[in-house]
Amino acid sequence: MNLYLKFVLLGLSLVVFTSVTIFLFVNNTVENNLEESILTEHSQKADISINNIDRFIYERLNDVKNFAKLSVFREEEPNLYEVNRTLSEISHSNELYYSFSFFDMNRFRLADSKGLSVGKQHGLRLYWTHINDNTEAIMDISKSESVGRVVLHFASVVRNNANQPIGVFVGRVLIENLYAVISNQSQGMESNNEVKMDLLDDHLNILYSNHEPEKVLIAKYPEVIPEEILKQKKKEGRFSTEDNLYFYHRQEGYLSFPGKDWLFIVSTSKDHAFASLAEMRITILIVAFVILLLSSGLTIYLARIISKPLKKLRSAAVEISKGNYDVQIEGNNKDEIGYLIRQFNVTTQKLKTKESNEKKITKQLVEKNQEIQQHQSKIITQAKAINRAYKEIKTQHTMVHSSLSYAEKIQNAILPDEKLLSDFFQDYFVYYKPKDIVSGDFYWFKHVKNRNANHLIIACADCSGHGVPGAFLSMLGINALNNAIQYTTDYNPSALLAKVNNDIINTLSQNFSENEAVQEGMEMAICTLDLTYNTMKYAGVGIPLLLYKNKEWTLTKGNKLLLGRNFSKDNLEEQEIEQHSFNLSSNDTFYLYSDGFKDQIGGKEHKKYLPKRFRMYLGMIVQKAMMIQKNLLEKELQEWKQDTPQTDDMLVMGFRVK
Amino acid sequence: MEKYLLVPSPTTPYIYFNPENAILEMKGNSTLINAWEVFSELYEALANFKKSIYSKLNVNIQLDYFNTSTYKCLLETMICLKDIKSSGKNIVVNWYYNIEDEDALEHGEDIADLSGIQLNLVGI
Repeated sequence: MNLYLKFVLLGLSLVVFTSVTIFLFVNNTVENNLEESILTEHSQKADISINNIDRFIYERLNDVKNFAKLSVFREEEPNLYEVNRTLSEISHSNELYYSFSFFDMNRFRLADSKGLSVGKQHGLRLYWTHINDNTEAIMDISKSESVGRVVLHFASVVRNNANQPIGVFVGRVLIENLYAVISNQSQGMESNNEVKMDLLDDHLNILYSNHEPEKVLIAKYPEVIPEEILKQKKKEGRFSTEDNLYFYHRQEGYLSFPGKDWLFIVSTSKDHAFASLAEMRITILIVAFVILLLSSGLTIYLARIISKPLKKLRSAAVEISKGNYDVQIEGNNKDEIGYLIRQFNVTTQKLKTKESNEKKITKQLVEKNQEIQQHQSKIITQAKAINRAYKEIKTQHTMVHSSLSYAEKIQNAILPDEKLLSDFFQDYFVYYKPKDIVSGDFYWFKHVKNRNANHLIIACADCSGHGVPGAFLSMLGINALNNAIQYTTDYNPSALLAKVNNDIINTLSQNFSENEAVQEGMEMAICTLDLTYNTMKYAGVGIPLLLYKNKEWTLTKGNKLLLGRNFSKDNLEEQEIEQHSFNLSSNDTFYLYSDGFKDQIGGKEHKKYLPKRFRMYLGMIVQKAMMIQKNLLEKELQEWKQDTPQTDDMLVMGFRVK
Repeated sequence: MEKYLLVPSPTTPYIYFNPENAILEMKGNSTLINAWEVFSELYEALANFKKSIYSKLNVNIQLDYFNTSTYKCLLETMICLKDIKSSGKNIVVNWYYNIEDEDALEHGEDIADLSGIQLNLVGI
């Protein structure tokens, strides 16, 4: 069910509910009021009618009483002529009366205005049954013996001057005249046949009926009157049967007239009585129906007005759900729906902007994605290339490494066996630590024993550079040393160093240009121990001798030179190299070492270990066994350098004299 | 004229050359295996400097450890500087050394001897 229908239903149900409620209320109120006024009206009419009747009877009785007092009737011997003439006069002046009669006390009619039944005796009935009971005047309804029509008899006793009853004066009024009284007197009473009026005597005989005159004095009133009304002799009231309403009023008498307990009944059909009510109801119904129609129309119109923008909103929302953000709704309503429409339009615009932004972003993302994919494929290609290169490098590294490892074997084979030293020293160590497998540092021993000499020659050298180039030079150095001790008896270190220098220069001179400011060569120290005399000669180029003798340290630095190519000069003479001699005793300890250890970079600030610190450390450990000293040096080195790579090849040698 | 700069590491030196401010600085350690590769650029810069309008250069060298390869390059650098100095520019070379490190002082003296340039040896 859509909103429009709902609005219509809501409106209609409200209209119907309101209309029905108002209709019922109005109808009920009007009905009550109208019914009450109708009933009151009828009741009043009945009241007025019976009063009129009472008054009419009273007046007529007074009439006949007055006529009976006329002297002409009070004569002991009435003059009939006079009597007739008087009756005729009265009759002429009182047209209301049909006729007048004068009876003597024996019911003989002495005179009559119409001249009917004169001289005849009246039967002992009607008013005659009451006339002698001290009743001065009486009224009766009956069919007149003389007239032969239903008349109202008004009889009054006529007394002589001695107040003796001598006759009865009777006036007759046709019952029709009572109709006139009732009809005329009860003004406003509907004259149509719908309103029935009946006058009943105390035996419910019909004395008067405006609708069934033939039943007068013949029939009784239908038995519709409730028993209690009759028994209790209620003065006035109303009752109803299924179809009719009855209003009754009992005769109350008028002035001196006591009434005869007659009952005046006005009856009317309910349909008639409430005809105006029914009319009113129809009118109200019509008005209600018209209002209902108008309200319904208005409701439908309003529902349409209200639901129209909502319908637009709905179809716009459907469009948006389909992705059409160009929808804009027209509507200048100043109510909540108008606000909703404006908000909807704003939201739609925002959505549109957002969507276009998202599209832009998506486009950018797609572009970026493509770029990334391109990059990725590039990276993959590069990664493949790197992988290939890595494999190649690995292969080459393996080759280089195996080549170096083989070179190491050769170098180790060339280096002298350090166990040789055990024959000449109490204790010793050789701490030899290449930076890259093969080393530019090297050591060299030679025991020369002939008839002239018994010498142990020790060399400690540090070639410029390290690794392979260092190793090449070390080969050169060892070769030069081996050459130096050939064909000589001079084992002085200075002489040997000069020879080594010249040998190297001779070997290398062809390969370097004159202008190149290079220093290719090596630092070297040579110690020659005279095993016969326990003396030691030292000469050094760049490598010092550190001697511990009698708990004292002696540091002997050699020349500031480099074996090999120098700037200023090439060849060296023996004399140019300083030589130092020492006497050795048992437990004297001396050290030869290259730059490697003291130049190791390390510590928190990545500084050199320094020669001073190195010597101090040796001072701390000099008493220990040489093997332990070697291990401590290794430990000290590791603690100093931590993760820093090894700076240079290292060689430290320690000797303890026997 | 380009500033010559080498970003330092624990085992490579900091080299800064700014002729506009008349400054050439070297600091740290140098274990460069082929130092010539790095220094050749400096040589080129110095050759340009020689031809330039700048008339002054303060050289501050505060190297802790340097290997033989670097040592040779330092010598070459000093020879260059001596050459520039003899061409008329005002060149001052300060050689800073750790006072605890006798080798460093010796190296400075050696380099001064070998290159023939005057070094201000400053112990710190």
